[in-house]
Amino acid sequence: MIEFNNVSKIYNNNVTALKKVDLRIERGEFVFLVGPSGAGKSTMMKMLLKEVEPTEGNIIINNNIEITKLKKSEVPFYRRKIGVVFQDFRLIPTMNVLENVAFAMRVIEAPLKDIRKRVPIMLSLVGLSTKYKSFPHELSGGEQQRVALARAIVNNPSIVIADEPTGNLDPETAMGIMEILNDINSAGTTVVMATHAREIVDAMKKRVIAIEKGEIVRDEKRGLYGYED
Amino acid sequence: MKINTFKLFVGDAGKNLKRNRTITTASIATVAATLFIVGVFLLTILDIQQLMREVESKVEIKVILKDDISNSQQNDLESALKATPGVVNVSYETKEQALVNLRNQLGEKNKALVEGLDKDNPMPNSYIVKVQNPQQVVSVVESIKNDPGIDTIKDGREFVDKIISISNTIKYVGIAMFVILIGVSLFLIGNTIKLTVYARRREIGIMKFIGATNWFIRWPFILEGAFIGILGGIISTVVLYFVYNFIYAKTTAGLLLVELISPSYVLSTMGLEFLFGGIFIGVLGSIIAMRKFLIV
Repeated sequence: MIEFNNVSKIYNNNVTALKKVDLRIERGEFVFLVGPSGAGKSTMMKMLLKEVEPTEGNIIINNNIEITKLKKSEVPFYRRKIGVVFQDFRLIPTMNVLENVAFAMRVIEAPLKDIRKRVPIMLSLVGLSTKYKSFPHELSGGEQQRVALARAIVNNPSIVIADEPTGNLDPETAMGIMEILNDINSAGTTVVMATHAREIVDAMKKRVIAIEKGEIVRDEKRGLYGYED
Repeated sequence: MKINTFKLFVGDAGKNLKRNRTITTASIATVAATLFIVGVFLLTILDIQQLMREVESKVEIKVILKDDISNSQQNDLESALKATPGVVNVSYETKEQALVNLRNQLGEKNKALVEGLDKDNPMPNSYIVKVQNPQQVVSVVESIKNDPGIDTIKDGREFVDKIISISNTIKYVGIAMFVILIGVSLFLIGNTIKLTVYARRREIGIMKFIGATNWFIRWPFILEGAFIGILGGIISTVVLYFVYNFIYAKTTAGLLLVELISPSYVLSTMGLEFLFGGIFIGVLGSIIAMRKFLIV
């Protein structure tokens, strides 16, 4: 569960990114964040990763973790509870597919035996079993994003955050990624995805939260994208 | 930290070094080259110091006695000399010895010059006084110069003054150059390491996002830094050893009198210093260079 309570953000250059946002996302929900560029979607995502601090208000995860109050030393352990996918994939270029996914498990100091067992399962889940030895630069965009997805979920996070995960992909590849995200969601993981992809939002019929100028302007249970392209 | 985790770090460091071969090579070369230059400088300074010490040890005061000095006067003078602070050795040179020494100095060719002097020896009796260091020559001379048995004192004051001033100049210039050289070396090595970290700043950011602790990220970099330092240290020591050995052989063959620092010093003392210096710089450089990228 994710809770934004009266969250505002004013950046140092006096740009107001969020204005008193109140939001509740239940466990297991699939939520699209939509809205024009610069509306505040990214700021919300960054707050969930504790990359950006709210100027005002607080954010509570899983009923008991108040992100704003986390100590510096607690941040890494908090981030392990959240899987994250970016538009630019952000794989480690010097590691191959297998190592990239395994790395997320090594970070939490999982036993080697568990890593050996679980990583191949994740790779087959995203359909990359045969390419486990490839390096990121040898993969297509869609394949890279699938590696990133495998990495995001390998530690069984309760929340997956995806910031325009299909932004660099063609529509067909994008739908493949969405299927995987949908599967992850069906298994009980909360998914929050910021996107500009109308077809995807319209096709998935999930909860849609529209943000404009730092405020929530629309929140529909089974919504549509609702913006002209 | 678990042992297994540490093993993985070592593996990671190895892989990273291999995969970033170009930059690894550049870093090792920089460390080796700077340490080599530092080594050349240190050896030069040490050799000059050695030389100065030898020259300084040759400084002596010649106290020439009057021919009509009485036995008791001479005994008093000798014990006074021995009691003077700073004096380490007093030896007596008789007229006869002085003549023999002169003859030896002149050699076969100029033998004729001293021929026939045996009958009427013009050389004086004297005391040769050695002092602890050249700075003490003046005070020793001051304390005995009014002794009635002394004819003249040859203290080579100009020579001594020159030695002292040269030795001081070398000391200060040496220290200044050394400080500058170390500064430049640290800057160079630091920059190279910064480059290796900078090339992987995105990687560090990614690690932070998937929940790696700072130390988890740091360890492989630290090990890489240490490895670069060790290799740089070894390479510079080996090259320095061979170069110095060559020079040493040439020099000692030409000038038998000069005793230079032995080449084994390069392998033992200096090699160890470079090894630890290299590790220290590599590790510290990595930690410092990473600081900025760990704040995410």
